[in-house]
Amino acid sequence: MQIVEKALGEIKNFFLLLDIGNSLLNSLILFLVLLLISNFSGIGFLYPLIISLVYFAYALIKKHSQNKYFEVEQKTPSLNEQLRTVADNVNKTNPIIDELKDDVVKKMRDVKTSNFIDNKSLILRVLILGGLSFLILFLAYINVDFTGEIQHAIIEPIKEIGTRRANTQEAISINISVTEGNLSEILGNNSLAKFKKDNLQLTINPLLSETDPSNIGQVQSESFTPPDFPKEIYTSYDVSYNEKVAKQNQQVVKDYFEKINR
Amino acid sequence: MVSVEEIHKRFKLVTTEVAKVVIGQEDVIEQIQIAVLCNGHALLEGYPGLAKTLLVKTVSNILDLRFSRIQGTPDLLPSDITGTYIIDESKGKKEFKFQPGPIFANVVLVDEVNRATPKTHSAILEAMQEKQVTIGNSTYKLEEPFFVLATANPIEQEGTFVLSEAQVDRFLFKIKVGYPKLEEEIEIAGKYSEEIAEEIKLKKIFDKNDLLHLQSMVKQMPIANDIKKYAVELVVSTRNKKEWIEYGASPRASIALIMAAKAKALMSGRKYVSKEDVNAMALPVLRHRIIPSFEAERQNMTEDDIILKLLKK
Repeated sequence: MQIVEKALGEIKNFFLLLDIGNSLLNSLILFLVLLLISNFSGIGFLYPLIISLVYFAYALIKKHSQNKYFEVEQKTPSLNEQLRTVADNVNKTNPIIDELKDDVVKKMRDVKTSNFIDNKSLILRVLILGGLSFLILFLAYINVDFTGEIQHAIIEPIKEIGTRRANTQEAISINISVTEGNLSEILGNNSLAKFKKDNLQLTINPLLSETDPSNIGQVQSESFTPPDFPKEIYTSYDVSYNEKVAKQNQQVVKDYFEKINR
Repeated sequence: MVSVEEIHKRFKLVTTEVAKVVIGQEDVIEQIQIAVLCNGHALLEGYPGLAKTLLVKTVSNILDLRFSRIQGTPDLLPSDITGTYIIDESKGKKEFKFQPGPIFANVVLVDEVNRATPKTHSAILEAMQEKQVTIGNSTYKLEEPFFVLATANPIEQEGTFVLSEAQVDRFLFKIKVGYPKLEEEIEIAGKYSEEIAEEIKLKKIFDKNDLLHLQSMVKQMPIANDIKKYAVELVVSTRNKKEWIEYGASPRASIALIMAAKAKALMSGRKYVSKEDVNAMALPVLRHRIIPSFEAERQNMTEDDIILKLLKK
């Protein structure tokens, strides 16, 4: 292999690595931005990942298809138009081309790889990357979740428009209501009675649960067989019950059962 | 093998030698040399008295080439150019002998080519293309290098036979010869009122073999693919600009443009073709290969204006 071929190969490899690095850095920034948005909107991390991978492939192909020798010539004016000429005629040999190849190899010593790395842009992108990573971790730590707000501000109005347009489906709301009374023993926790007739909103934190709220499937119908209920239900006074009830209260209990038996 | 730098130095010497006789016209001198290097022919357009004949004679003298001149007239016959058979009685018996015409030279200047008839045009153009002439049953090869330089007068169009587009296309260049600058004209007037051009001693810089070798070197000149593409795209653009150009240049123009750019690079002492070489050669290569549209003529745009606009795009 000729020296000029080796030199051209080195340039190609260097630019391939540079393109991979640049595309990777840009894709990472894109991924983190999309991940941040997905955390707010509850889209899930799969979409940002796919979009970032597609962008990475596109950016790499686009950058790699550009004429790299032209870039080298721009940074090294003494090689202007000569490097491209040699690269395009590397397999040909005649006295003029051979002389040109020698000239180009000599001048390629002036080419510095550091000229092709944009330090300012690199530092800026690394800083953005760090900032985004910190923001995502911080928001996860303080458990900030805008899903509800976004739902309320964006998704619900959209749904409302959709419902109005369709005008065929009725809105279904599920309310869990708790009534107040002396039923603390039946309901268990007394504090639940404080809800009164308010709606109970249940929120599942996606970070602390294996449940994926975005994964909504079709409702599966379950066959339900009711238990074999007795045809008639009646109450009767049991004398043995009196033994456990204090004497002064026995009449009250008796009245109570008679009352509910009516 | 002579190095590219050496070739550049020698072409500079040619220019210096020509400048001893012809003052100014540097572009014309350079374009004539490029046409010789490309093994092509040139059509010279300019008003009378601009030293066109003197320039060609001087160049052929410096390049050590045999020069001949044909004056285009309506009664000029093809045999006047190619030559004819004459009866030879020198050996005691009558026999036909071929008498070569003025076309049998290295540099042929056809003055006022548009005054000759289309029949004569055909004879000249066949010789230009094939580099051979056929008289009767015999074909005679012309000596290499063979270079035709035809002049055409842009005024006095009455009684002329304009060369067709197909015939004009065979010329590598159409070189426009303009008037000299004031200082140059003062120098010309001063010089030729005191001495005779033919008496000026000129050095021979190249010989025939050198020129043939240089012509092969032009073909060896490497060119980058994107510059080649740029040249071809420029030619193709002449076919696509219907608003300015009725008929564009043929693929022969693409070959001519790349060859001319290569020759210019060699003359400049470079081992590669630059985009600037293509741009510099665009005018002489394309100006006779395009026909401006009515709209362009209405806007007083010349062929050169159109090509310059295409170059800017």
